[in-house]
Amino acid sequence: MEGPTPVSALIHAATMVAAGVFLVARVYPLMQAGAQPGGTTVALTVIVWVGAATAVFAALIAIAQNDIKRILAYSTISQLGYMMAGLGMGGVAVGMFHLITHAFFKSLLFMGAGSVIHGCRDEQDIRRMGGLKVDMPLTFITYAIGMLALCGFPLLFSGFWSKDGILEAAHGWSISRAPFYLLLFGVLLTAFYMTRQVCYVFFGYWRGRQTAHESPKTMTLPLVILALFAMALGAIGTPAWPWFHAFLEDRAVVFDLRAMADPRLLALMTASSIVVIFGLMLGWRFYGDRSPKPEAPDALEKIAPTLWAGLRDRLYVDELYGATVVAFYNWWARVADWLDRCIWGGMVAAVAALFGLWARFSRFFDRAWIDGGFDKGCEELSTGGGLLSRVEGGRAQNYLRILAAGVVALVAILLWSVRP
Amino acid sequence: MNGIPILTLLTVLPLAGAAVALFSGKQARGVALLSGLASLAVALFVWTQLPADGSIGLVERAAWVPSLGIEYHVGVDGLGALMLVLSAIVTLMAVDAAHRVHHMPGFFYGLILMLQSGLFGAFTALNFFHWFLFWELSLIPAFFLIKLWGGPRRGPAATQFFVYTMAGSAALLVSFLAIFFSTGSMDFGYLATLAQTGALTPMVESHLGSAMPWLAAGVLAGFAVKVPLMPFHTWLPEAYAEAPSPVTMLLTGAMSKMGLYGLLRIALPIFGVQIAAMRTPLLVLATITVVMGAWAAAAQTDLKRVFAYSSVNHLGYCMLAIFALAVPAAGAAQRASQAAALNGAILQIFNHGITAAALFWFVAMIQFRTNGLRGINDFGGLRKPAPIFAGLMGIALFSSLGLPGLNGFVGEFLIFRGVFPLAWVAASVSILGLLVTAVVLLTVIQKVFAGPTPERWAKFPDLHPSERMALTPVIVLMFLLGLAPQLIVDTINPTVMNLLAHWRF
Amino acid sequence: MLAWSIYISFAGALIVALLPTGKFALVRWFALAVAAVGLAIDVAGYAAGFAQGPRTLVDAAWIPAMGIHFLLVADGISRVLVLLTGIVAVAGVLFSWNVETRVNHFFAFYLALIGGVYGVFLSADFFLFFVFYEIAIVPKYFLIAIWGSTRREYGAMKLVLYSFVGSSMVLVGLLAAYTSSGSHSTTLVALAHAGLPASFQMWCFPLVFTGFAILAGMWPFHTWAPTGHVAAPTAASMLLAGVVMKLGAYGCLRVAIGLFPLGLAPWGFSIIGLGSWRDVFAWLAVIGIVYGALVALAQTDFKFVIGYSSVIHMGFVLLGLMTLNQIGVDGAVMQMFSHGVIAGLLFAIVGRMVYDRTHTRQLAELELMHLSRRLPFAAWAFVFAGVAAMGMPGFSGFVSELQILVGAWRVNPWWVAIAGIGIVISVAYIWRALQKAFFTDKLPTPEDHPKTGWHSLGAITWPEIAGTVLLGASTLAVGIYPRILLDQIEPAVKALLAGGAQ
Repeated sequence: MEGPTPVSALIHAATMVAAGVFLVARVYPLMQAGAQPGGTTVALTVIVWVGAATAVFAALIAIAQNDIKRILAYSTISQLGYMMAGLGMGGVAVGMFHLITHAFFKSLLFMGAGSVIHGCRDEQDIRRMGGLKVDMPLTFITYAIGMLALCGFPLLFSGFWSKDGILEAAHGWSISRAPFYLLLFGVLLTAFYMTRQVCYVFFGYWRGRQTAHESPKTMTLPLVILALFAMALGAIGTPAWPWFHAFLEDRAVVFDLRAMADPRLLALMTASSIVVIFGLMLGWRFYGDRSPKPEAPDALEKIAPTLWAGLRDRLYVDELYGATVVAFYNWWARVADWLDRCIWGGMVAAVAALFGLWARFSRFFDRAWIDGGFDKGCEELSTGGGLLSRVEGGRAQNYLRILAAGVVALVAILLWSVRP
Repeated sequence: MNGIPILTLLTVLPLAGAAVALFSGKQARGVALLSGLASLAVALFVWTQLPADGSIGLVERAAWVPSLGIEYHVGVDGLGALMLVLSAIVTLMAVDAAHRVHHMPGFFYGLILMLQSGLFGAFTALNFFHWFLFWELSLIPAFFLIKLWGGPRRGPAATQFFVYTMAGSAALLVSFLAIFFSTGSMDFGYLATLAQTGALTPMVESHLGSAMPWLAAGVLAGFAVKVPLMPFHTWLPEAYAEAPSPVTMLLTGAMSKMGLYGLLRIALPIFGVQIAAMRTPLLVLATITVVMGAWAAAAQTDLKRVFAYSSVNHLGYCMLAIFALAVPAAGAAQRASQAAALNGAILQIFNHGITAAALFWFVAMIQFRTNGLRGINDFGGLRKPAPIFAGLMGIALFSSLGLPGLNGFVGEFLIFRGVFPLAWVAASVSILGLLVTAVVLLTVIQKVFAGPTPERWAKFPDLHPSERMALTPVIVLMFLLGLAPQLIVDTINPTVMNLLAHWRF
Repeated sequence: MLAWSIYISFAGALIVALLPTGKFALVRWFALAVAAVGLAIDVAGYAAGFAQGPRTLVDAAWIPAMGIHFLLVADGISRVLVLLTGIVAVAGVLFSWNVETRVNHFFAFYLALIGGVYGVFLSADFFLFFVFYEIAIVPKYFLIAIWGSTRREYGAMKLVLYSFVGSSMVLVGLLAAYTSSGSHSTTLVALAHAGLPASFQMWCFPLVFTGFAILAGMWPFHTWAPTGHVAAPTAASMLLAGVVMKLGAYGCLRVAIGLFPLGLAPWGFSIIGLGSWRDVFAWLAVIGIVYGALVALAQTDFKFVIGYSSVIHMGFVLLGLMTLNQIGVDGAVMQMFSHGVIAGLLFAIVGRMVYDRTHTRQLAELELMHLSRRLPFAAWAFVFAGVAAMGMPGFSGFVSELQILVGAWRVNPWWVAIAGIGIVISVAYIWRALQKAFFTDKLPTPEDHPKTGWHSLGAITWPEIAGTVLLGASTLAVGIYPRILLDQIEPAVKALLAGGAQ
């Protein structure tokens, strides 16, 4: 959404965000593996509930946004929920049909928004727009077509047929009726927030800074083309002539008006139409033809200010991620770094220090004990030698005395040995 | 072959180049480039001469010291030849990146070429003595390259790198000597055959009792330090950060691969049974390496350290694959997974070598332009003054991230394809590594290239034509291997199947 | 023919002493010529030895009444060690080219020492062996006492005392053996075949072995070595560490193990895990390896680091000897050669190249001198020698350590494990010394200038280069092609282990 509008139109409407839906459709046999006799599996059930919840969750948030493209972005998320739910309950063709109709009318809406932004000289806040149906008529008409297709306005618009296909599948889901009601509620919300947006942007009077002007043909021509598709594409997916579904399932297709006459089908189509129109009227009731000042609180905000604040702040999902995933990521990165520097690195440093200590001790041991021991021994020897050397004192008188003593002793022994 | 000892020539060629470069002064870089190109040509020629069945070819044998089991025995199979090509490419990249070495250039390029010779020798050796010779000798030029031209903390970084690696090598040596003592052979092929037929363990046990697990641990220790495997990796961030960037290119692009090559050539064939017995703790360590390596990268502010830890993470994938495939008595489906994992690991070795070297090359270029700055927060908005630089570095970053279409994806994909059936817990946890790496590398792009351009980088010079010319083949290679990996896989797969057929777990 | 190396050395010593004093060049060149001729004889004799086996060089009755012969025999081991002596002798002369005081006497003592050493290696009669052994001690004393440096009288006296204690132990043992064998003959062969009873050998062996091992620097009788080597002038250190310590190891092998092999047999009981003299000495050797490395790691004096490196390498030699198997003892002999050359080179660098120029051996002071820039030849020579000393493949030390460790695996894995730790510590101490002495990162502060002085340190001279090349080429050649030595060592060791001293 932060990207330039054509980029948004391409990736956020048609291609990138649809990749997940496409992936599920592609591996559908895996999803269906081990199906219960009713055709449901755990995988598909999970997808359904997540899709239905997403549809409502995102639609709620879209109600309270003020950036023209952000409303469309959350709308896309909501519609993706529909697609997923459709895949889960109705099969590949149901989900994919809504994917391709959505691609056209959502890119139409994004392009239209781009045209509006360009015409308002890079203003994106819908509270600073208004009355553009006069200044930008072509944009207005094509945008309205896209908006009606998105809401699922009966019969003439592709969105009706594709969304109804999903609702029909939801109605017939064996596990629970709840997703059906959720999705129906989502239809109401979709109509409501789109009406709000259109009223803010195109109705009322101009609240912006500079005057607005229609965009050049290079911008409006694609809008027209897309609008045509947004209307006509429904034809390939009506119950009377379900060409798209037959194409995907590789079977022949027959044009059969009587298929439309199925009572259940008719009842559903009527019900959804009523909901759509009710939503449109509700939206008009709150926002139609008024132009509150940009700083003034929104009409709904006056009624339920805390709820509004929560919805405007996108139900704090981003903050939740920030506080959990992102915070954990950053914290764990610091832990990893600390482990590396202090623990593993510390162990290596400890080993090195240990060897250094042991080395110093060994050196001391060598010098003081082993070496010192030998030196000590030598000293003792030389001292002892010194003592002994006194015998060889060099003083002749001592020698003579000892000699004399020795001779006396020898003679004594000799005399003793020869005594008779 | 026609009798020319190609592999010996290849190993000696860089030494000759080094001898010339040492005395060439200012022309040393030219000499090194010439030598590098010649080596690359020979290595590519070797690549084309491999036997088709994946066995070892281009064998040269000569008696050396028979009484000690030492033999001059060289040869390559697909794995070895790929390593030769990788070494040649990365060395060429490193020499080209180092175009502003003012201090003793002759010596600098001489040392790089000596290192290349060590790499060639290690990747072609088939006898332990010969292999160990090159394994150890390559440390000396690496040490001095870091010590003499590195950053402010180069002394401790280089010393830790040297001593730590030597400690691992000592364990490896001692263990291998026990094997030699028990079997009388230092020949990798013969020892692998002994291990495959189950004769090795009884031989060792008859001489040394139940020493095999210890010997395996000793051998693994040597490789664990070199690749590296956490927690024996702490020498790496310092060494990579403090080494001059061209040297870091060599360290990450080629030297770390010596460890992985050793695991594949020596550890798995000879100690397969013991590794299979230790599989779980090894997988745990590999997973930790993957995940914590990526997360530690997230906490770094120095670009070189970001890429250093990212390298640890990427090499962790290879080790994950290598340890995962050590499954005893593999069934047919498991064999397919083993083949995928091994192919992936080898591909990843090559692709990571190229990509990581390219990333450090870009860092070198940034450093040259900014007088040595390389903090992630020092820059901003560089894509405005230097769009081509931003584009090409962006491609390298996306390749490292594993974007399909670029070479980084193929190896990782095959690794996960192979490891998931064999060790799904490790594979699942390792996915975190992919996620975190993506965040880290995108953050680099955001902080360095996107956003507003500060005043002082408004004149940041874009790539010169010579730099563009040098980088183009690398970028082309990234795309080529990403889109047509069969260029490598077709030659490697026979070797992979051959290796797997001869390994016993 | 090898016997002539003995005669020429002694003759040379005599002549040198009588040469006119003051004619330094003449004396030096003459000494070099004598040493070189000796080396040439050694090489020729070595080369001839490939084809021959053990060969009796001279056999003359000396004192027939006591059965003493002037018997010189050369086998593979002797030839290798004689070759080592020749190489180190020539290198030593080259590295003493700058001796200026009493040059005649210096080279006279030097050549006499060489002659004595040659004699020991070639003797096959224990009396003759002893005579040469003692002859070698006297010049040692004077070389250190007169031309040495730090505490030279103390160091010289210490070395001599240790040597005498050792040799007296040997003498007692050999005399006892001589008398026990009937006093017929003093030749080693005769004593080996004399059939001395096991109980006799059991006390004679440790006595004689320890006596020789003291000179070989076995722990804990090793402390004379660092002190003595540090005190000695460069050439003397080279000879002492390179060759003289090998006398001890050679004696351990040839005499102790050769004559009294039964002394190594198990006692039948064990004290603290030791069951024979073999265990005792092997463990002392292993302790010496680790201990020496640790102490070297903590030294502040460069030369002391190298001095302790000798203790470590000789520890490997002794470990190899104690394996008592072919490969281990092969490794021990090769390690004798390898360490001789490497230690010679290390002392040459530290003493001649560094100390003679910087006049300090303190690592803390050398750190401030940026020697990698000012003495590049010395720095890179030390890288070469240091890497060889730590057992890097490609150099002779690796092959010898490889064999010793394999031989040790055969006997006791613990010896290998601890020796392995010793190798890692060796890497650390050498790398520390290397970086502190040559490749410092420290920039000198202004206060350091008066001490270090940035004056020129004097260029490398041709004798130093020649000596370095000689020693470096020796270790490299053996490292790359170990068969140069192994082909002679293996048969000789085989014969010795099989029985009979020669």
